[in-house]
Amino acid sequence: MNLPTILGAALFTATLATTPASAAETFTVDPVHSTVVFRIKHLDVSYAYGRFNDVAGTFTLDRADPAKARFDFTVKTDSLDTGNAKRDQHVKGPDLFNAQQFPTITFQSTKVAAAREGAYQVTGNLTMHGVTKPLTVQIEPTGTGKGMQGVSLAGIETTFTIRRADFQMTGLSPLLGDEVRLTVSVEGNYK
Amino acid sequence: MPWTPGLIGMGLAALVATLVLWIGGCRGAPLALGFGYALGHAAVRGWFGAVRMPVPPIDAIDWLAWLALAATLWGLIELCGSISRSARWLGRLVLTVAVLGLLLGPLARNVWPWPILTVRLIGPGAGVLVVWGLLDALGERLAGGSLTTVLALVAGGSSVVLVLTGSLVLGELAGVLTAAVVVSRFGSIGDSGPPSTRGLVAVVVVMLAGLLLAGRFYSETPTSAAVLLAVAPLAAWIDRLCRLPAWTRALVRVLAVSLLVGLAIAIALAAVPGAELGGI
Repeated sequence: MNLPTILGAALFTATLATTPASAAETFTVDPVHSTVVFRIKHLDVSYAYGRFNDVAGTFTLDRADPAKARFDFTVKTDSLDTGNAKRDQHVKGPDLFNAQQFPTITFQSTKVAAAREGAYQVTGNLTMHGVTKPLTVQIEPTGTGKGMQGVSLAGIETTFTIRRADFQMTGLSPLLGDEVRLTVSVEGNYK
Repeated sequence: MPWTPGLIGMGLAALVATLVLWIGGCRGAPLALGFGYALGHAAVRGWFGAVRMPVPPIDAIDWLAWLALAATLWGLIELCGSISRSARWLGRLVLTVAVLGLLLGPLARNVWPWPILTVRLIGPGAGVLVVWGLLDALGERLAGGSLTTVLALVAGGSSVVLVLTGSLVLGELAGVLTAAVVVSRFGSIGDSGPPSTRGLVAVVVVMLAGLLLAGRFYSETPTSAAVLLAVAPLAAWIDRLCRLPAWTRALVRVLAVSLLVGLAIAIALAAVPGAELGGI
């Protein structure tokens, strides 16, 4: 066996090791390239935006059998960032998120079905501020590719609206609106 | 309007306290204070509107409404019942542990494990009991009106400090307590002697301890400001230092307490330079 053949075999083996073999592909959330952005009405005048900088979790995509897909995400409440440190402290305090008592926001899917154009109709439990509520969202795959080190990547995104009163987050009600629109954009590394 | 829930809560607390005092007389002060606070708390949290009161509370700070009722019951026992000294202190210890456990217990899940949290809470717990004992003794010496003036000053100062250091809700709740104490002050004009102030002190100590601990551990209230507010009522002892006419003694008491409360507000202001409700 000559050298090019050996190298070719090694390269093929390495490619197999980093490429998903089955239809169901599980990815670990890359916190650096994942974002949770929220929007809330301020004084019924304008929209204030903020984000959570610490997102973790895993997701499984399965185009052949969407029912096998899974989505588990955890967001650290303390990573809230509205671009104003003092406001962040306030929002993370007992008036809203109470981050000391409720350090994480979690979403765990319980049922997944196919939606239009390759998207997933995902039903799950959103736990925030110590309250768990069922939530149905449409998650859209945004792309796949290879990372700098050859690892397979996949991206997903969803936008949905919740009411903070549903989660007993009623503080600052005259100042801030009840509805919060969230956009979750996640990039995952193949597990 | 940002302050609407707080103003409604304060108005409701004052109204309820007035009604209870009207029906029950000055001996109803603990009931007026506790019921007034609990209903004011519910108004601030929006439990009379679209949001149902969570039972058990979700936010630890909402245990304050239940603690107000427990403190009211204990205040009435101290006021009306003939209980031994040891039983009185045992009851106070149980209430203090309840305040610490219910309000700060959730931190054991996320911040400190129970052994560390317990050690950290020994100091505040002992402090609550010492302040309680000294305030009780002060109440036995002062007329009811004089003591409630001091307590209203401290509750009002706590409200300002809690708002300045990051929690509008805690500040509003302290405002609710202030409104109930102010009504009790007018209800207790001409009333003197140990019984009525003793029951009233029980409710105020439990509520102020709870609010200041919540501010310190869940919000951004500096420890120094919280401690100053906790010991501020004790400055009323200063009038014992020299012989003065009665009205001058009252003025000296109010000035001494106001000085400590003002210092706590100054510390809070220094901790949040230029911030108006943290930008909200």
